[in-house]
Amino acid sequence: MSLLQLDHLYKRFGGLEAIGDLSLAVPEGQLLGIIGPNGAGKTTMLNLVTGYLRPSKGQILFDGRRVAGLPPYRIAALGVSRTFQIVQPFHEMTVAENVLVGSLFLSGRRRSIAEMRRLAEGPLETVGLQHRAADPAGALTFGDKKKLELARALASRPRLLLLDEVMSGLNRAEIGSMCDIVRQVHRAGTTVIMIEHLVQVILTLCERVFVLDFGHELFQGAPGEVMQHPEVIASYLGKQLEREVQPG
Amino acid sequence: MMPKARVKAAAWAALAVAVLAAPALGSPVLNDWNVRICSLMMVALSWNLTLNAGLISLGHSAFWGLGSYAALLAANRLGAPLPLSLLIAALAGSLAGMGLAALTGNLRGIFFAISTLAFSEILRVVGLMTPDLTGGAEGLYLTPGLRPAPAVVTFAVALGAVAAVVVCAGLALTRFNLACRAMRNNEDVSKMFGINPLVCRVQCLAVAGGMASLAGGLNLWHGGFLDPLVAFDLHVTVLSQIAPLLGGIHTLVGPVVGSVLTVFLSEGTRIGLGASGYSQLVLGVLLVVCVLAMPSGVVGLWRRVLARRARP
Repeated sequence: MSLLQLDHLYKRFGGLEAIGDLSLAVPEGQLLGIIGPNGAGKTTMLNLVTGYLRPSKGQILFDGRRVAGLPPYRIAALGVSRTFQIVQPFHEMTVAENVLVGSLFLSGRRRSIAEMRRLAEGPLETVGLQHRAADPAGALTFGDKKKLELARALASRPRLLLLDEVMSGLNRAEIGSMCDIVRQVHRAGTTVIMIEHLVQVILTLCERVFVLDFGHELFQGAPGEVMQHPEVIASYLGKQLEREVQPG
Repeated sequence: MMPKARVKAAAWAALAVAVLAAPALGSPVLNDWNVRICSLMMVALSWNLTLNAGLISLGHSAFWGLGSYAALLAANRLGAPLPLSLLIAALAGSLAGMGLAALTGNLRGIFFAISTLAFSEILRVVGLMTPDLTGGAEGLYLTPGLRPAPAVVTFAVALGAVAAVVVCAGLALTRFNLACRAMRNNEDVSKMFGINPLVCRVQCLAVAGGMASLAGGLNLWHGGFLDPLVAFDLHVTVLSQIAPLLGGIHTLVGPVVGSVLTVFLSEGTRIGLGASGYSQLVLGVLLVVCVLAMPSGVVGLWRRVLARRARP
């Protein structure tokens, strides 16, 4: 059974249809990439899944449960977590406290704060920020803030992790280590949906790619297929792939 | 426990003992200062609690006045002794806080602030329009025979302030505190981590409202007279913010130090400059200076000095 299922989902903002008749099924354990041009509705889709927006029509099922219209904290409690496209750590709290807040009201609901403080070291080490644990989150570099967001999301031990352009703004080395982390999280059994603009990342990480265009499904399939698809090339990639992707 | 932490705990304990023992000296002047400082401390700590959750309250005089009236009516109408009347006052404040949280829903920043100001004004007008209950503009006296000795009232106020500090110190260790701080930093994001902002706001305003109303109730027993203008005086709201801002917001020691400084400054300028209008002018200027020049207050300044000295 699918862990996440979108059923003929619509979202209209006044006269603008941001998402139209979108259906998607994500089996448990999959690493799904979502691509599409700017304004295609990718982030809107994540906001619908996480409860920040209410669909105009259609249903969202998480693990067989109807979740459309539930508030974000209820959906989070079911095991959904996310990072934000525009990084939003809790700036005035320390790096360690950010991760602690990630877990305290979800995976660590029934444990003591002291115990959760210790357990928060795990996700921090995963993203390589343990040496910054005592620093205020606002003092981190942009790349480190992205890592912190990922650590905070991981601390909640989600069944479904939604990554909204987690690689954007990172340098080459950081992208490499971020890819490793995502792969590691996925191997540990977490279902991952990632919105990504970097074609190379999509090709190396994702098992399946979903292409969104003007709020509609354009195509879905294996990463290789997607990159060959003429409509995808026309609407999104814009040029032949062979010249774009360099190995390395 | 680390030695430094032990020194801190000892200092807090000594301070508590001093404040609680002072009424036994029986000095009216000392008692008056004690009541002023301790009651301001309670509303300052209460205001700091709401600020910790990102809620800027301009309505603390509402809680203060509500607590005053609750204590007055409990004493006059039901013959409630001081402790029971204070319990009723605190409960009234808590309920009002929860109601305010529910009514303001997810209003933030200036929108929340304005609605709390309106809340206070509404209560003042209601107080003026219900003379049968509140005595209206003429006001009401606490039945004279009910009032205990000034030293007893002073001790009660001091106990209230110590209790407020203990409650704040205890809350600082809870996950409620982390939820409040996360909410202050980013309410939308906090939702994604299982925090229900409404529940958090209701809890926060229940505690803060109860604390400020308790202070109002205590002040009624000290002053013995109420009218809606005294009870819902905007001055209480202003002082409840000046004290934490002067001392240092988002800390426990900040509102405590700030309350002492604020009372000393307002009394000092009143005595030194004569008319009380000057004391408000001084406090007003001070508030601006604090916000602009030392946003972390006296406590923050002190910590920076210590940190600079500690550097090799």
